[in-house]
Amino acid sequence: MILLLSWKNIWRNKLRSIIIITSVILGLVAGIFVVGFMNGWVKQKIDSVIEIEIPHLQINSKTFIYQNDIENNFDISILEKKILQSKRVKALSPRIIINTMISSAHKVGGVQVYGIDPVKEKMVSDIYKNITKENGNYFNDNKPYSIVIGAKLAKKYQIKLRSKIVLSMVSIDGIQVSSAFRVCGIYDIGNPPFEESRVFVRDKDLREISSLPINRVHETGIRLIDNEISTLEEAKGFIIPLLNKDNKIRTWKEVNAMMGIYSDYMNIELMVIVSIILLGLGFGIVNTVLMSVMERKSELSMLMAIGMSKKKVLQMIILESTILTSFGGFIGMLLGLIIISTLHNTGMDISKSMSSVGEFGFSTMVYPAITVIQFSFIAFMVILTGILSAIYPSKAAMSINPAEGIRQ
Amino acid sequence: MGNSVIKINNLSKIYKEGVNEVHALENIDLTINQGEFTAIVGPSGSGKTTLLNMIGGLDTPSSGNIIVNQTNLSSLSYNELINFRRDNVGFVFQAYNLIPVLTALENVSFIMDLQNIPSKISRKRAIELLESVGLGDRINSRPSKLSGGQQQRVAVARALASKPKFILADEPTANLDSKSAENLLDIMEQLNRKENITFIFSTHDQRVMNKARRIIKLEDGRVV
Repeated sequence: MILLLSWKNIWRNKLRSIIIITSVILGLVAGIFVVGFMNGWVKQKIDSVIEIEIPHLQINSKTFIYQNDIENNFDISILEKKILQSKRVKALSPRIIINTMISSAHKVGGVQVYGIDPVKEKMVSDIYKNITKENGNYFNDNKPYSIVIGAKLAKKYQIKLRSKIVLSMVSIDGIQVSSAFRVCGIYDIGNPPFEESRVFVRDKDLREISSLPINRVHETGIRLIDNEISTLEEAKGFIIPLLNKDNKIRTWKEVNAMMGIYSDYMNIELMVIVSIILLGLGFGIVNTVLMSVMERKSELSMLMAIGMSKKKVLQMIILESTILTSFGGFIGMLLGLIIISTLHNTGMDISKSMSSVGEFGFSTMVYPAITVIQFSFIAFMVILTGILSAIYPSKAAMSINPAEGIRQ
Repeated sequence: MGNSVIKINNLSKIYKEGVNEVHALENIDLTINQGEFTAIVGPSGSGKTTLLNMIGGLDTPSSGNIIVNQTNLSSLSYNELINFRRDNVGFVFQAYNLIPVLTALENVSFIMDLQNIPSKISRKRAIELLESVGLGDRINSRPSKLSGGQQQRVAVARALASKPKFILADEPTANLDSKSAENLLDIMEQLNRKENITFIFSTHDQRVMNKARRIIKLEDGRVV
């Protein structure tokens, strides 16, 4: 009966209740959209970082991390087989990394050249997927001294497909060496800083120029079976005992601290946003419920006079507030979910309104998404807002003197 | 003399208005027996409502005792007083004080829900009570669809629903026309005679006084 009465009380002043329910709906739709948008944006960036730029795990010599010198290398031959025994590891790609000068007909500058085994690298990085047919291929033809460069570098240095460029570097023996490469592919991953700074050649070509001994590498990129944090930690735990004291394994979060922070704190930030929205709505709900209580002073006095306990009065008002909030909350969350699901499938093109984000390596096509945990948190917060919003009006109701209130 | 339901000993109530003290009730001694149909009368400000509130456990005395069925109301805590009112007192108010969003049936059932009586039983009893006050055909009507007299009859049915020891009716006919007032008084008198329910009225209404079998006259907070 208390539930029935609470429900009917909500609809005494239909307009007032509809206004507050609409506010809750709009607030939640906005909150869920913001959460979904940011989620999608960051998740996409993280997925892209993992799939293209930084592998799940990477091993370097400790000195290489702080100084990218050619001599800071390590032996991969035994380690490679041992790492591949982990069920969490999908693939592994040893890399030679050397700082070089690149010269085109128009410009000279610095880049990092990656010497890779194309077959292994394809299993770790999806860069090869970002080369369109008209921009060549990823070492498909077996011509030696081929090079794959980024679209931004190609544009800046006015390099075209099949152009010849010269890489100059210091070999392992400390001798200045140079060699010409022909561009076989131009990748475009939508991350200009990355595209401008990394070029890829076959490891055997680079080893030949730099005189780096066989099996010596600067980095090993490891791709795992999925993007789950638990997989990441498990694989890292498996590999650590295999390393010697000069090597260090780092997760993608450790390599790219900014993305790690994004990932770790995004949930907190988003929850703060939702909490602020609900706090604002909470004040509106307090006002509505308080008005409703004050208008019913005589009736509440009668209820208390005939034997309704303070506990039941509290229960009734909390129910009113919670139903009011949850009703709007349910519709708001449903609408929010529909919008997020639709946009998740279609994608949101933000290139017109936020074109500059592309310069920072973020995609201009966003696929909003929301996790079950985030959605459950919002549902919990909606109900909590309803309950907390009832406290002050309930206190006002319970302070009514029934003998006085009845005669008003 | 029948069995006493209410015994009031040396009851006084003093309200403070700034530095002044207002003696609303002074040294009242009273006994009300089971089955009485009593009217407390007196001019405005004589203390009728205050006395009714004291008997109903809505207000506490400054001194003296009210004993209802061997329970001294002064010894009860706030929560015990609520339970006392719920289980022992039926209230009929001047302004009906029904819950506007509930139907007549729901209004009558509500107090039984507070007593944790199963809804099937409470519904059956509520229908019987509404039939006994002549509203069997209006059980699903909301108060706004009922006349003043009909609303007050719902209030009487509600007061009876919890099977109280007595019913306190504060100016129950004040807002009713003559016909409705007569009709309501007849119903209450009938319930009193048939079911031996104790009724205590506070009233100015001569019609109530005419029906009452005992009149207690108050003046300046004293029984005269």
